[in-house]
Amino acid sequence: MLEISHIRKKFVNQSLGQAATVLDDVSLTIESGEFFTLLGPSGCGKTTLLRIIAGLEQPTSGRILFEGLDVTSFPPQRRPFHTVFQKHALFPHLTIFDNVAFGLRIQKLPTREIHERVETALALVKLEGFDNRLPETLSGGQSQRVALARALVNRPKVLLLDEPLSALDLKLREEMQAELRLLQRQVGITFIYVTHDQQEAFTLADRIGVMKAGRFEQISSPEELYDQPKSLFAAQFVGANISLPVFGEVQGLRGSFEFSSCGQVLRAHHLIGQSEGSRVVAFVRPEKVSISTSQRSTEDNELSGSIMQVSFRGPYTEVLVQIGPEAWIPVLLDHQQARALELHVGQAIQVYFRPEDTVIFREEESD
Amino acid sequence: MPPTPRLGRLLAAPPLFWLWAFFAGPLIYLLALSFATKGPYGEVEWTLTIENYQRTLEWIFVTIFMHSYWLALLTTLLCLLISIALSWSIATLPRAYRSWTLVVITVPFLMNLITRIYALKSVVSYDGPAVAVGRILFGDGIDPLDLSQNQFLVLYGMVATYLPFMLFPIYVSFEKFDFQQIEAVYDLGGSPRRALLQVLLPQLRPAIASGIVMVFVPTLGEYVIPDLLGGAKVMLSGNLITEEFLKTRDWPFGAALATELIVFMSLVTWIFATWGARRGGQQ
Repeated sequence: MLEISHIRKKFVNQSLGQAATVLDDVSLTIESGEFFTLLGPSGCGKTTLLRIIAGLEQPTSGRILFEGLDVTSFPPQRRPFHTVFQKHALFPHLTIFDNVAFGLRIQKLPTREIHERVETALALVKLEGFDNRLPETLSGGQSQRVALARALVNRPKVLLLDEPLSALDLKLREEMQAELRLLQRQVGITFIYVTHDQQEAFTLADRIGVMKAGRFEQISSPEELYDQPKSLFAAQFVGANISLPVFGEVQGLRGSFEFSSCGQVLRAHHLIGQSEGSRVVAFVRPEKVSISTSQRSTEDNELSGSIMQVSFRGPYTEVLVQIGPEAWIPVLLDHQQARALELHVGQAIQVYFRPEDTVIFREEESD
Repeated sequence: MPPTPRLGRLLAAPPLFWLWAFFAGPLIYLLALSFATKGPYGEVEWTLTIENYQRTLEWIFVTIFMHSYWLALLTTLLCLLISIALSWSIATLPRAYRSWTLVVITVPFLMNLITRIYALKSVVSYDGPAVAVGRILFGDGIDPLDLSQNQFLVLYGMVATYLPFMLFPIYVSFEKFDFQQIEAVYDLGGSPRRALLQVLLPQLRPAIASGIVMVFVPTLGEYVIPDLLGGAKVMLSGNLITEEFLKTRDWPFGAALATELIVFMSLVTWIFATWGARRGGQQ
């Protein structure tokens, strides 16, 4: 179990004399064998947190405990964690074998054991027979695997991965994601994985920690993060979404909340955030929205608008519906449905979504 | 049109001619000269003798050569240490400062060598500021000639002159070096010492090898700097050969000395070129 307790990190810009807070009182507990993903936009502090766990960076305050042992002041050499760096950081002058054997030679293991473990590690990442190649002769995906093998061969208790797939193209990235997930189950060690790619986080993680400006916005399973986001940022950062402007007051009414948007009164079953006088946005996922060419009597939320654009998006058709002077929402339909409705630009249309799928966020104005 | 082998040969002809006529030719002539004998008026008598080579083994000449090797070695070593330290600090500067720092380092080398050395001489000359400061600190006991011409000045002049030949290749290597590798070493349990010896230095090795050749070889034959900064006190192989050709007019003996020097330089170049090209593995 890895406990990260009240970590703060301030960087002081020497020439400007300004201190920037990169991590602001971050706490987190990661279970053994868990695949944990740190997700956030660039500059949110996720890489810094990973480097602090690795020991490559010292926190300004706070503690790191591993299996109950305080490792905060340990140099990276003494931590049972190993890192897979973003740009792989392979040693270009050494062969693949020597790269992978590097950590084992530091431990002064017998030659035969080094040989066996390196071969096993290379087999694990499907690079048998690459022993005598130099890193410069490898493709991006292959050097990624060598970086993985170089870390895994030392049998770390925790493997730290800093956007290891960001240098790869989409197809290879998806392949490697699947392999990584499989590998993690196979070796059964804790993975802490930094990424800014929400799809990657969903594919890989048991739990996701969404970070923004040095703090956790939400720590939960991918499903919970998608279905029950705890903040507008978390909701907007993962998955496609529709934000509806809210005009006037939100009225609490028999377990649901009424608000007005685009000239219509709508209802939501969820309200997140308390403070008065703050920004209010209503939120719904596009796949929960349906459209109809004729009015229907229903308890669902209903908005009328006109079609701005119909576009083919591969697996589905996206219909952009204008519901107000400055407001439009994208609706996703499968091709058959879209064809059956005979949609055309300018056509008047009704948009429906359920109050259960509608969430109102109240947030303090920030940045 | 793709270049044909015939066209290639045609294009190579002028430079090849140049190389043979003005480089290999004189070199062969020099070699032949080294087996000849000096006539009573400094003319060349075409005998076939190894007397000149036997003379080079006389103690006084051996001393001069040893001294030259020692100075060249010291210069190369100092250039190497300074270059590594300097390149490291420049390569870790913010990108915007790097080119400016390089410009500042390069500008003195755009100046003529003689001018640069005389500028240094004016600082240490008997009526210059260095002597004046020495007088204030140590009184009249100081000999101005000791300050203006000495071994240390020769070494300083050599290092200052040849530093760029070491600095630039090493700096280029440093600039390409991915410093995250150092973190990778620490992460894998390695010490800073290991990072330096097994990761950084092996990757700088080709640059170090070419730097060594480019500094060691010319300093070995250098004669202007020791002449101007060492006064009559320092005699190096370069000065010795110049003397034999220009003053003593013993061309055959000068040629023998030069041939020995060329053989030694070629050997050094060959050793370091091989060393630099070898791929770095672990023990």
